[in-house]
Amino acid sequence: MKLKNVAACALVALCAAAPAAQAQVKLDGKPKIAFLFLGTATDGGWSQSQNAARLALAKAYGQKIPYVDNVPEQTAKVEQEIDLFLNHGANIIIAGSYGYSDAFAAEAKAHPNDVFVNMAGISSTPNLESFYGKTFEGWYLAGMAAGYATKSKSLGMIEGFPIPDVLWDVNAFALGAQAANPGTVVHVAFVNSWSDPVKEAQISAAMIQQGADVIATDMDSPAALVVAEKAGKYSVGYQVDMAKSAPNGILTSVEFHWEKRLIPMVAEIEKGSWKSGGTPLYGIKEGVVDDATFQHIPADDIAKILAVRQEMIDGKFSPWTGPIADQSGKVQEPAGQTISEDDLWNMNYLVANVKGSMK
Amino acid sequence: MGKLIVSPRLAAPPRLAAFTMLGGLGAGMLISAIFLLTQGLGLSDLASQFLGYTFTDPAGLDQTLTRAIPLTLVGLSVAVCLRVKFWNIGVEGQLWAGALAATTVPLYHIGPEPVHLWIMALAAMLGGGAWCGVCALARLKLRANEVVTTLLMNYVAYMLAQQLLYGAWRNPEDSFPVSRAFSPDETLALLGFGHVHAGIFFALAAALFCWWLCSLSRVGYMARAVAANPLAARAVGVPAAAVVLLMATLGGALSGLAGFTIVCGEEHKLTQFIGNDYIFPSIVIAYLARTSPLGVVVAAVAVAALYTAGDSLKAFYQLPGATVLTIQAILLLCVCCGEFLLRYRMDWVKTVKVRA
Repeated sequence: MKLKNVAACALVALCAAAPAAQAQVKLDGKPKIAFLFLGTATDGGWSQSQNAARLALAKAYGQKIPYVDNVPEQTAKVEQEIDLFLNHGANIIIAGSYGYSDAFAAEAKAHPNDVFVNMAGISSTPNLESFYGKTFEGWYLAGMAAGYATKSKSLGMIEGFPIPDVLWDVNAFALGAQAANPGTVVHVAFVNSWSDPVKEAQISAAMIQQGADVIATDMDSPAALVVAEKAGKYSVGYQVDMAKSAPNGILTSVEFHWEKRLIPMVAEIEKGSWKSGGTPLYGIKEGVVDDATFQHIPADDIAKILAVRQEMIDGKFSPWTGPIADQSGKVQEPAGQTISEDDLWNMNYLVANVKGSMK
Repeated sequence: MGKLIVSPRLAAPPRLAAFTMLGGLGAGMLISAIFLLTQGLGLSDLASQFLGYTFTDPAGLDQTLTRAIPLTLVGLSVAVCLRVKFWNIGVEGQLWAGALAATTVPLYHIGPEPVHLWIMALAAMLGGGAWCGVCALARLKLRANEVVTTLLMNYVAYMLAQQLLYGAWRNPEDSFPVSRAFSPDETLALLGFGHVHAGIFFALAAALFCWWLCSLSRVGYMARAVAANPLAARAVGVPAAAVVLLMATLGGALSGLAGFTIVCGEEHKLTQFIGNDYIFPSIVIAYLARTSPLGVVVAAVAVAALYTAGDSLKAFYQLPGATVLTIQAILLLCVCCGEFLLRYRMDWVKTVKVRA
């Protein structure tokens, strides 16, 4: 009986302690934000989309937001830059790189009263949130557009690293193309870098030579699109609206609008009501991901794409509803079922109509 | 009328040596300050960034000291080689070779687990030493200029590292081009002051050892003879070739050890860019220290402080990262100019017209 009491007491204590551990982070004073960028702030892609968020935050909060760019995915360098900002009074550190995950986790543990945000990261603590976009929603719609546009039924897509949140981009693109134009295949190539414009252009040219008539890039630069434009082929951009790089052939760009989540997040932090959401995904509904205006395809097709977009917003449609088979023909998701977000983070295969290897 | 006569000094008085060094540094700092002021920095910004943050702020000091660990080792590497007039322009390659050698230990489970860290340090020294020793051999046997060979070996090591990171050593979990993380036993412990890790003891011990070697040991004495006049040294029975080989290999081992402190103390795995941007500072440090091993420690801390200040210039004043490199170059040039005044004396001689 006594033992039971002790256990009960311990349980109560635990329950009381648990919310305390999960409690909101209380900032010392007003929010002071600082940014780290992987590339240059004007790289035409990834870092530029985050710089746009920085400028939007600066406007919304009327403060100058300092940043450093070209921070390599090297733990010591990332930690040094974070420390620098914290020591100069910053209390919210925002960055966006998968390769910063370890450094952000270490810094978040060392500075529990500051808030850390690492977009596209995979680590989280009570004061570190690594949110990302449901890029697959944008890519599915872009895949539909490519499916409607293609004549050769052969698409090319250039990718960075074969990690889950990149694999879901190519898979969604392929599924969208398949839905719009059955029998369409997507040729994929991995560059093993986030930005390597020379290689991206070479791969783009090679894919066009092999018959691809839509080139989609999942990289930080528009290099592949420039090649497609010159060859008179269609293209799909990423991260920012890349229409300027390929005005005559671009179908759309899968865009990030990080500020759509960051501005409300900072407001919550200021109020003291913010809690780390772990590694949440925000999509077209929240506005974090969206496609740029569709063009160069018939209006009927655009209407069909926008109808699917609306179903995504209403929660009536997911690209991940089965049947989904991988390259080997193995069923990864049976008909009628939908892959959960947790399982998406473990995606390690390419779907059946993708040609190319993850190696 | 008159003219300027420049003549070499037979012996430089020590007081002048100190004076030209300080004068060179002072002039360099003045020019750097003017350069920064033209870039839109205020005087108070300069003082707060360079003196305030880098030395008095604990976090700034933490960054400076952490950075100084590999900088000390690569500085020693160049300094030791210069003791035998061997120009080591290859510290990055040797650092990579050391880091790669160290990484093989956890990846292939070499030796008993509890002493992995020590085996890694030893492997790193062997790797770096071999990388530089080969260049010394090439100079001794093939008369290949070491400035060229050590420089080119940088690229060989870098490409080898990338080959491994994109191939056999790629992280199996996410296919990222980094090695898998080392276990806690295979990393250098933090000392409770920010990011400063136990590698600082390796750096200080290396500096003390080099000081002993260069100043007190017989090898150091022979090295001085070889540096002054290799032919004469050989004539009196100094094994000149062996001394050059030994000092160059030791120099390489020191850079290799720098690679070890980075992968084990900072990254806790092998990552893609660890060896970048060490060549120029290593030469600046060795030169500022006039190849004195203990002086290297001071110069390395100073250069590390420059980087710390440069980071905040980049972050808060949007100055490009190359600013720090520019300042290092200004300092180096000024100290070199001071060196000129130390080696040569300049006399203004009045010409007297003799009437016939």
